[in-house]
Amino acid sequence: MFRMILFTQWKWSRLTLLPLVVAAFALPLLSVQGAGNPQTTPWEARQLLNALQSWGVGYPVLATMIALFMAMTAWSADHRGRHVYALSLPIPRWHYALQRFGAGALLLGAVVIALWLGALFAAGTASIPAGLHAYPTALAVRFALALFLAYAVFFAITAGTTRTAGYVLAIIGGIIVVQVLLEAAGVHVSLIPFIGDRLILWPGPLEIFSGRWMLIDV
Amino acid sequence: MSERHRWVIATLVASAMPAIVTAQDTTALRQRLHRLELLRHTAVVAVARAESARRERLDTVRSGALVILVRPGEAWLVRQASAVAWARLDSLYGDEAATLSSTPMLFFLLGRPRPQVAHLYPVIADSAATPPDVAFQLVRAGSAVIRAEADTVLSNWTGPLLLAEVPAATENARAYVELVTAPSEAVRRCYAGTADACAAALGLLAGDPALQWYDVAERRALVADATDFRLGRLRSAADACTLAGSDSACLEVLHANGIQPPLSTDARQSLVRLTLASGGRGALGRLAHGTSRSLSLRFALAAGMPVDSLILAWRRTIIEAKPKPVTIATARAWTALGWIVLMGLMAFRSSRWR
Repeated sequence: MFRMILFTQWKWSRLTLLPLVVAAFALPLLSVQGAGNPQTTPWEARQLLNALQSWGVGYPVLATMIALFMAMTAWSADHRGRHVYALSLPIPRWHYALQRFGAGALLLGAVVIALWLGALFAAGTASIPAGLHAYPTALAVRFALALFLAYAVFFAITAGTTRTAGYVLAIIGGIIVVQVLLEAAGVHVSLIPFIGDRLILWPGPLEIFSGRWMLIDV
Repeated sequence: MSERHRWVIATLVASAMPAIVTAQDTTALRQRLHRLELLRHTAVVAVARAESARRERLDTVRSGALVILVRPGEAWLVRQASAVAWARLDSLYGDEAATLSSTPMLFFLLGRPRPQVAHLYPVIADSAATPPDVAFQLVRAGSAVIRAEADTVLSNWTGPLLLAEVPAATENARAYVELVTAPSEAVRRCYAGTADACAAALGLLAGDPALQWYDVAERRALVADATDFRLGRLRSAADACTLAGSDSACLEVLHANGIQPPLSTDARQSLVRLTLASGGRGALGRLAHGTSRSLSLRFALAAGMPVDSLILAWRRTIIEAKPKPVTIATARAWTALGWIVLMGLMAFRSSRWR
């Protein structure tokens, strides 16, 4: 049964997933395109780090985009078919959800492998200035964790009921409204930055997305 | 004036001479300067108050040595911010922060006309500014005032600020990147642990910086990197440098065009920060004044330790601040895995289909 679920998810997602796999392979290569350029200046190492830092934004963005797409694809057919197929199966819901999750995660593995190969190729071909080091495997591991985390978050949201999605949206909207009302009332409480910090700083769930996403670094 | 009056005045001056001469010792002169400074401060505040009373009523907010004139409607904002700002300024600059009392500030929000009061240092904040934003602006203004009080040798050396506004860890991490990537012989030797090379790379030593910072090949590369626009009349010297390999021609171009220091203001400001931390509350006073001494000696006096020890301590601090690369600590990886499992369980646990 898992093979069937995997196959159907592959069929639904392949047209979008393949370009994303190519993007994951290309991103590390694009980030080092300035390395070893004969036109570079004596400050090449610093310029290369600046360029890598700019490209570094691409990794968490790509991970988020792919995870969102895969999570939505995993449940879209069930939502459209009002879960009739799933209900007809002689298995509990958690088992079905686990198989959907596993199939999506397996397909995401292709993206991670593509990024890892791209990073290895980029690190191997680029001329790295003295004092700098390449971290292709570490970058791929971090990308994998960010990708699976984003996928798990989006999967949990899309797997829930419409009411659950409504609750999530209501909580986010409520926080914004409370912040605006507090400001209007002259009460200066930085609610959104406080919550943002709890999410982004360790041990917050999104901490893996923060920091330096650099294929080559000091 | 009659002959008799002249004699009386001459006699009075002559009788007062011993007192005048005894008053010339350093301590007495310092006390007089201090009294004069206080009088000047009182006069400036009084003038500002008089002007504000004549044109627009302003409140005076005081916090430590900070004196800020502000519109009554914005006083609460400045009152909250000034306490935070003063604590920060006092911890950053020590005793030297007290000199801020002689420069009252005028605070107003952007979008509203500036209060018509002259002679005050302006501090402007956005109309939607919160107390932390205003505190940031006050610290910035205070830092600029303190820098203006320092002599030009130090202020030119540090750049636009004596201390950067970024956290010390960020500043040190940036300095680490420079220490590893700068195309400079002095910086490489500094990274390897030579204190003299660090002092040279930081621009603390007297002499020709082009010779101290870069070797022959690096000088040639720097000249080769200069654009035609920047070279102008130095084109022939630049050709002699890059094509014929003449080092004197390279030096001529670099001296005429200006030489980029291998370590930026981040590195220099991190040294100032370490010096102030080591030297205690009076450190900035010793560092910022004393043009008769060399810069390295002033750093040593300010930090209360030999300059070599200070430089090596700075190097250790910078090397310890190496930015974390993309590699993940085990704890962080387990935390991320934990969140993945938790989110997955949230998706599996529901028994509802819709």
